Amino acid sequence: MNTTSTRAWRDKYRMKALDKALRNALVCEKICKVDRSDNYRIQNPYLTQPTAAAAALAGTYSVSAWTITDEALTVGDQASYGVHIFEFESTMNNFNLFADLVDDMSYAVAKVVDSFVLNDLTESAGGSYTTPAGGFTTMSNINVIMSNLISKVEGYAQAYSELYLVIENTDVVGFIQAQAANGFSYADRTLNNGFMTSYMGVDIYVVRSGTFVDDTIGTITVTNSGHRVFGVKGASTYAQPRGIQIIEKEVTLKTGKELAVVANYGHKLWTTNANLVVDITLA
Amino acid sequence: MSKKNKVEKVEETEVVEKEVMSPQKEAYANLIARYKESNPEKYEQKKEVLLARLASL
Repeated sequence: MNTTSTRAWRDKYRMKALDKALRNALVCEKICKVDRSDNYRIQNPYLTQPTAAAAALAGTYSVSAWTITDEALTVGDQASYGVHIFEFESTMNNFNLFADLVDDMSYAVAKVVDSFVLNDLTESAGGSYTTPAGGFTTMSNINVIMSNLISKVEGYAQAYSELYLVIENTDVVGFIQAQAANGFSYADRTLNNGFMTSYMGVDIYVVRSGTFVDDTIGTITVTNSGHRVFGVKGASTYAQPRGIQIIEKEVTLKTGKELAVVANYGHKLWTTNANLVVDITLA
Repeated sequence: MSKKNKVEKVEETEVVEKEVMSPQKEAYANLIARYKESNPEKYEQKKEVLLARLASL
């Protein structure tokens, strides 16, 4: 038998660039209004709803004071990640470390922001609904839950905007069964194509299990384990001045460069719109 | 009961009380305390569920 040195074998990385680890879906930009201006505070933009008088024909009227809600969104949180890439690492590496790391670090920062916004939105919701036992994992519950959720926001003019529901991947079980069993053409589409991301006119966003948490995220403490969120798109605002910022700098006594990715952010579900968002408790 | 015996009894009681809460339970109790402070209205709504979850740890 021949003896072959392991160093003689030719090997390679499968790709030219470093590949990414599994990533979670980010949803907050799809369901909130986004503000990227350089402001620290954003004031509530809504007038308090005036109530007009109804009376017999008289030709007179009374003058009321007009008001706005005194409330503000504050950019008070920061997500960040930093590394140092030495000159020899950068020079002799198979990969473009700066490009690959910036991409991955930006995702890590965006994930923190997404988790903050989603949990704060759920915590601030004005509406509440408790599902029948089994929650979204029981097929027969789906139509009951969806109709109840939709009824919570109908009647408001804003309900004609798009509706959304954010669930975790473990909840998809009941949805797929319901989609495959309900209707005819819809069931056919589901059976041919798999999970449909809209149901009864509601866009469904799936995040990974463990996104709704009992935890302290930056400056907020939330207790959302076993909760999900439903509502009208654009009811809340999240601010991220200048988006995700990438900082690259030389450091004394070290070769190469330090690389940091930072995002400043804040979120507010305006009191005026609180009833357009429903905090779902899974039973 | 002598004076010496009385002192020993008090010390035993204190040791037993400190052993009750696991680190995980203590962390969750702290989280609930922070939540109660930051969002008292919601805390009242979720109180039963949170305390039941704490008890199950």
